[in-house]
Amino acid sequence: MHAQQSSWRGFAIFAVIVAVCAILPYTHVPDFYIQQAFSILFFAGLAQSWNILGGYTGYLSLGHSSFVGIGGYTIGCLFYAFHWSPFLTFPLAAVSAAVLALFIGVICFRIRGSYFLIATMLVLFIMQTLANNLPSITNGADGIDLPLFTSDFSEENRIWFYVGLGLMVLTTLVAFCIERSRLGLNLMAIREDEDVARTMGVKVVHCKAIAFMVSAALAGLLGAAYTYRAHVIEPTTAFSVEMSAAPIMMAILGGSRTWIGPLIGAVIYVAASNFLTLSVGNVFSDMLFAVFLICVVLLLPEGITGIFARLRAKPTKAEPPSGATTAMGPGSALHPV
Amino acid sequence: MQPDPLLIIDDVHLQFGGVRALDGVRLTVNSGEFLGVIGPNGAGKTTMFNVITGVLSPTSGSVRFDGRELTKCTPDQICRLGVARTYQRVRPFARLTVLQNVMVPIINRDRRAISIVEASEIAYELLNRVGLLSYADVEANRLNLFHRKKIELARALGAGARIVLLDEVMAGLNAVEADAAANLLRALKNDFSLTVVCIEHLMRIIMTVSDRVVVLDRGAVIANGTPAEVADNPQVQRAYLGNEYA
Amino acid sequence: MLNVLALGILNGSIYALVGAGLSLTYGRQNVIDVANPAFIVVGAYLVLFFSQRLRLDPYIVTPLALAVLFALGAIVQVVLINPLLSRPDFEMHVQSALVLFGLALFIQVTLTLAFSADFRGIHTGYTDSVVRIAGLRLPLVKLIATGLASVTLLSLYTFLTQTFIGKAILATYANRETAQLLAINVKRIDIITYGLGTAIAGIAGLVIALTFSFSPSSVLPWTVIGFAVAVIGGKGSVLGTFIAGLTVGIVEAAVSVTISANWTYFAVYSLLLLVFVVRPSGLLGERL
Repeated sequence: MHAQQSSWRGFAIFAVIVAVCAILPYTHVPDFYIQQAFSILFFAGLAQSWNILGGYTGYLSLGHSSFVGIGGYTIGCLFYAFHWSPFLTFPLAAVSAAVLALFIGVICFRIRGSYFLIATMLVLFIMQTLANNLPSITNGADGIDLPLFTSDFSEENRIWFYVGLGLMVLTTLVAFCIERSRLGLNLMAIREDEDVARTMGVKVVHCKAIAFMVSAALAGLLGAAYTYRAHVIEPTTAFSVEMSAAPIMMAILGGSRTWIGPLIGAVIYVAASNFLTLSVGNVFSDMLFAVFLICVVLLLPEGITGIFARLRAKPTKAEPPSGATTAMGPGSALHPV
Repeated sequence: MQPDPLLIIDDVHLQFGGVRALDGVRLTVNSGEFLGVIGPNGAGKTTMFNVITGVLSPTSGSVRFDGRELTKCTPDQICRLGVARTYQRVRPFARLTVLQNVMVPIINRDRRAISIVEASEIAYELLNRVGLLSYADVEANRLNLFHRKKIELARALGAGARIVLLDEVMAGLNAVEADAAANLLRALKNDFSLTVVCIEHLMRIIMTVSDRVVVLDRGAVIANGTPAEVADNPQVQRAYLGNEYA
Repeated sequence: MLNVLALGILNGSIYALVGAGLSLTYGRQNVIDVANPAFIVVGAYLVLFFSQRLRLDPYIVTPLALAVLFALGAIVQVVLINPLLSRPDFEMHVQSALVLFGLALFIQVTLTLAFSADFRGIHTGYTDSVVRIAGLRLPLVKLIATGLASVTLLSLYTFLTQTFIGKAILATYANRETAQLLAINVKRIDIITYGLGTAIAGIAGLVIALTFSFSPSSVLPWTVIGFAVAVIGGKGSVLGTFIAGLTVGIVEAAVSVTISANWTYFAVYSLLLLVFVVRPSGLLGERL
């Protein structure tokens, strides 16, 4: 029925790949790769969560790290203040992120386009200064150290691999469901033309708020996972603008209009970046990132899936005015127009 | 046709600084009729539409639709009441398919929650009625002007409109397309029990297809009657500086 | 206390210069220029580099640095911005911001590779001198820097309002279509504007190099300051830039005195966010 919309078939293929990956830690794949895999899974999830507001709704945010950071600080501060185990406080990361999103939305949703982009970036910076300046809660610039989960390196690796895999699947599932739902269609209408959408009855404020909160909550969970795995959190890395820009680049690279795009983008970029780091060293991966970002936006704004979609749709080019032709497609019962 | 007032515009004034865009417009639109609105450029026709749909607030006067006072409502409230409007610049959702375009107003109809599957079925039927079925899965911005205008129509129908305000919907269409559009409009009006208010400059079309014609000049109604009556009205002829009968 | 405020004013005029180039390129054709402040740091490094290599006084090599920056700016306009102008308005808006953001990052990384991450500064004979005026103790360098900044801003203002090219730039700014109708070659004006903005960033770079220490990581803080000034001051308004610069300087000084030095950034960010959200075109600039 919906040729353009993502089908369950695509998701089934995805599920199969996930199932295959799930076995990896128990095969002879070296620990090193399992560890690196978390990176791909994390960024895939991050790009996917960003894309809900960015790709589907058209509000590109440069402040996505705010949610990653607040997720991490939620479990961190609760541990720092009350010694509550991060294992238990994990879900709260989603809650605080969603609340923050509501807050940010109230401030920033009144502006659009690149102004929204910059404003969300400013929010990110504000979060960073707050984290630095409230040492009673956050231990300031020194950061908070978190306990180790287990003492076995291999086991730890495996656990985080599965956490990462689980979160990636969760974010993808959410994105997939939204894309096919009424909310998704409304979001896309908002993206295309917010004012006209409003006159069509779309509850614009409502939809944007939900999209933002869902996007944030997922990022919050990812942030908590990232933080706990790293066993430390401090302001500069928690609220880093590079980590904020990364999902943008990956989602656009893969194609920001469907759920597949962010995944592809994340895999390609992280793989390329790791490869480069291994061969030439760390510094160049930052360079690669900047170059990637510029090139992707300049040359590939539709992303990889966008190219495929364009190839598939080729037969129907933009048509000329109908003029004297009265030919109509099959199925139009009423009129010879 | 029994006069059954659906839309009552009562002594609406709209002032932009020193300009009197609408100067005491009094107009009644009856349910089920096809009303043509003509008048020289700058007469205030589009402005009147903007007031009806809530985009502009009148300085004074009232607009009542089915008993509700529209000047107190927001644009999306007005849409949900059943007032649909097309724009001179056709604005479909560019990168959504034609089907998706039509589904948007359907899923947002206030009355009941329509599932996306059900919405697509309704949308397919509407596309069929306006003759866009074969384009259902094509991105809206790939279609030519005539088809994009049909999308607008289908969207208005999808919103469950009871009255459709068309703002120069024939603009940019050639003679064949314009005739086809006029026929389509009358057919849809009958099939969906619509009331149609149509701003137009193409005299030939509007005079043949309307039940009643209203002439605006300088923000006020100067004539109101059947096409024949209006065409013979000397005031109208003067307003146009000579007959524009195509 | 009064001393701090006075310093704030001096800093403020420097900030005004920092934001001047950005103010020129900001908001033009719906392009948010996030990259201009990065060129300030480039300017600082260029002056340092040239003066060390050529063994000349920093002031003398500055014109050379400015020429290089102008060229770089022109290249950026042609290579990065022009291709985007043909895209639908909304996409272009966001994509140009992203591309320029990427450029700023690129610049930061390149500088790190070329010059290392250490903090540098230009030291002259008078770097540490202090001047006493009216009971205030003010660093000589800051006074000189303020003087430089003021002169530059004044020249810029004169250029924009009195020369033909300057007026053409302002006209294009205000209304692109009308400017085209007036036989102004808009594309060329774009290039000149961006080059000019970058060159001004270069002068700001010189000033920064004299008065503060800098490193590749300075790109971000200066971007925020520059942005604060440009946004608060308004698009293309030199007077606005000046006032905004002073505002930022005074706010910074006031906060550091009343609350603590740590909160100055928070205050500036919050102020900027507030203005940005309420009126992105800036307070004294053209309404969007």
